[in-house]
Amino acid sequence: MTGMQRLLASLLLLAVIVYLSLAMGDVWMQPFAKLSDTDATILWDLRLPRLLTALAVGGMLALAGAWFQVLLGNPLAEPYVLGVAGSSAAGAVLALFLVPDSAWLMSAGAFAGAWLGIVVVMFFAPLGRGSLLLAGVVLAAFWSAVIALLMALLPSRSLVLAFGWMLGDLSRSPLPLWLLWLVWGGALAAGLWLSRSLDRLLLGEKHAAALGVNVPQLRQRLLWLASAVTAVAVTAAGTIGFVGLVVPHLMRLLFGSLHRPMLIASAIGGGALLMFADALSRTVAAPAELPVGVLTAMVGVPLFLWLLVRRDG
Amino acid sequence: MLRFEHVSLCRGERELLRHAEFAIAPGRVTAILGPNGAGKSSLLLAMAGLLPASGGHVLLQDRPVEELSRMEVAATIAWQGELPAAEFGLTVRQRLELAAGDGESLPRLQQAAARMEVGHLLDRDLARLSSGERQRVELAAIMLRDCPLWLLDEPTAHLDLKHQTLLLRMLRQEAAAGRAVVTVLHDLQQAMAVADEVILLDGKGGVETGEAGGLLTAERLSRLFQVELMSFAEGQLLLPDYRT
Amino acid sequence: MKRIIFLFVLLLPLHGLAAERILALSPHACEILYAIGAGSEAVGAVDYCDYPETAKRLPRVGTYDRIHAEAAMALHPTMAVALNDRTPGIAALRRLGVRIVISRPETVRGVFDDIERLGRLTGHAAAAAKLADSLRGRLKQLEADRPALPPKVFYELWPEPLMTLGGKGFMQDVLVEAGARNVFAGLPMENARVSIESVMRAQPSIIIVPAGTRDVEARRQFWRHWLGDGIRIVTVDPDLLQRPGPRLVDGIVQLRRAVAGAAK
Repeated sequence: MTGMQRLLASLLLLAVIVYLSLAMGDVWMQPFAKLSDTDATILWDLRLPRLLTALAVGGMLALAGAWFQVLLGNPLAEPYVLGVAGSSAAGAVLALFLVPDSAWLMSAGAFAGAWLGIVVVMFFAPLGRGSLLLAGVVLAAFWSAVIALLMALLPSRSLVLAFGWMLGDLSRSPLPLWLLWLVWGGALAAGLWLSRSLDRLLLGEKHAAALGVNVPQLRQRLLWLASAVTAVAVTAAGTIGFVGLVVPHLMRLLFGSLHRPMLIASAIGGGALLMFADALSRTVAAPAELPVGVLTAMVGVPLFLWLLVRRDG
Repeated sequence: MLRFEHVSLCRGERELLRHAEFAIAPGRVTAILGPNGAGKSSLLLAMAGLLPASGGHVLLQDRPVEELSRMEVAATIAWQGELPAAEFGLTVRQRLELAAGDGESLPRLQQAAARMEVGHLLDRDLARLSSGERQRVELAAIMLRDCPLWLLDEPTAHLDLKHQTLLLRMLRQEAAAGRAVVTVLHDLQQAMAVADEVILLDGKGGVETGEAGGLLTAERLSRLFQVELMSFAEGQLLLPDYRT
Repeated sequence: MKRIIFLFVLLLPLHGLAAERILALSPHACEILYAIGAGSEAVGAVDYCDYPETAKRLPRVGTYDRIHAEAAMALHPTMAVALNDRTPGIAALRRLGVRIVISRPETVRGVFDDIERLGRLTGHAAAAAKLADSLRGRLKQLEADRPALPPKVFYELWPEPLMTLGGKGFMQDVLVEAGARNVFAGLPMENARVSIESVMRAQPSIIIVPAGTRDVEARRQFWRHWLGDGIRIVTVDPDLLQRPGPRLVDGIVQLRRAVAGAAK
């Protein structure tokens, strides 16, 4: 397939996924048929905002994942690798600990926690890639210890809330939709603006510098950008795993490693994957709902492995 | 073009270079020689402004290199070093395009690839090439960088005899066309064949620079590498005794 | 001499021990023990053992899902009433010679049986049987005038993530006894996360909100927004309703009244 064909096929697939995500749920609905009042409310007031949230959050996670991967020069990097998700969860649980049952305060705690995590990471930013990664892993371990401590102190009845938050949920974003889309679009624009430098960074930091990239400045920018986007995504929907790790690789397999096509594809593809996974999460066991993170992995893993085998096999 | 004024260079506690004074001129090939760990690669990085000097000034066209932006340095200096990372899967063509910069003409890219005999690999993934092929891609990438100064870190590494020869001839041609070439080399015969100037590093801070003919003697190099060298063909061939 | 007195003092608690020294390791076990007159034998409890008032003074040895064995053994218990055999800490207690009694009723009637069983095990059989019989009688009365067509309810276990009761487990039985029809009784689990969409589709007429730290007014606004102004919100005291203890029937009566009132 040529690039253009691939793009058209992807857009077609995206349209199908959007349609399916709207139609799927407790009951199958034809989005363009004549609907009863209840069905119209369900479709336009419940499913659509959730779908739009998923699109933005999934896109943000995939972008952040792609950035962390080049920034750290490590294919295993993902948005939560430097502990931002951990600090965010710690903030949320701390808020729960201080004021039980306040969902709003939990979100505020999550956001504050994410930023605390970022500030701590920034302290280690001048380190080399390997050390920065290690520092991040150790920080993540520290934050999980904080979470474990708070959970042990938390009254049992609040644990459900804490677990629910950490597994991720797209139905209760405390941030308005327009803000999520603004951050998503802004992140993509920033990514495209940096794309030539990012491409050069693929060769390694010395090669990038020799080709005229101001590497310390680029690292600083990437670290802020990726962390901030992760903070917003986590605040909106909790720690949804997998999207940020695998979607960038998936898009590299499909569209190559140059960042201009790859970042656009990740921003949309991550959203599409999360959107579809979320639709499945409220369909497969309906009327019960499954954690969306479970479905992202179940949809994404086979797809990714198939592409990997097809490339190398 | 590039001048070292009283430059000192450290790696950790160790002093690699003490008060070095030399200049790199256009149209000349300069070879850097020295034992392992003497700081040859670090010296190249310092020339490219990628490793700050601990003392003195590295002047690029009479301006301190640390005051220039990365873009300005990159317009003057091309650097070839270790093989670039390949885990994110670039193709050979993409790698060459990154070196060439935007708006580079396709024929020139193909020409460089052809000269290093990687033209048939253009659409292959970097990670799936042999090290020799990847090294040739790096050299093709350098050829696309039309900068007055090339810094090459062991350009012959991974190459077979044919491609080593091809490369060294090309370096002479480039110098003849007015380019300044600085290259780290391990092979004494190659250094003698290609270099106009040499920089000898002893790894303890000592630097000797000068005309290749004057410095590349059996006595001096024996001391530098701590290996007894025998001189043949009136000093044109220097060999250690491998058999005792 | 001093040593002998010391030993005597040490043995003193064991001496008076015709009666047991009991750890109440769940809130409902604690309530049952006090209700059958075994409260004076309770020596330790866990978090949320807050009824009756005197129970609050018992030393704490953990939570219902984690027992601190050392703190527990320091109270020299002879018996422990726990929710679950697999609760961390229970195995250690058993190894050290504490008699473990499991109480985890799965039905409303199972609560009465457990009351009698705990009565027999602690030497308060008569008081326990009397209590259980009176509770059985009250329940029978309630069942006699159960509504023919119970109203459809949604039990809001947690607001975010939205969680409710499925058809399995103790609470489902409680809802049936309270004359309410759980719209998600068909789900084969005890608790389930559901979407608002599913709740809208299930069309409950009453939302049951366990009052506690939750902002009931906010929940009312929330459900009115999605289910229309016709939706009724009923609050219950979760300590009465969700604990399989002696106050359960009070909780069922309370819920029955609220649901019947709202259904009118």
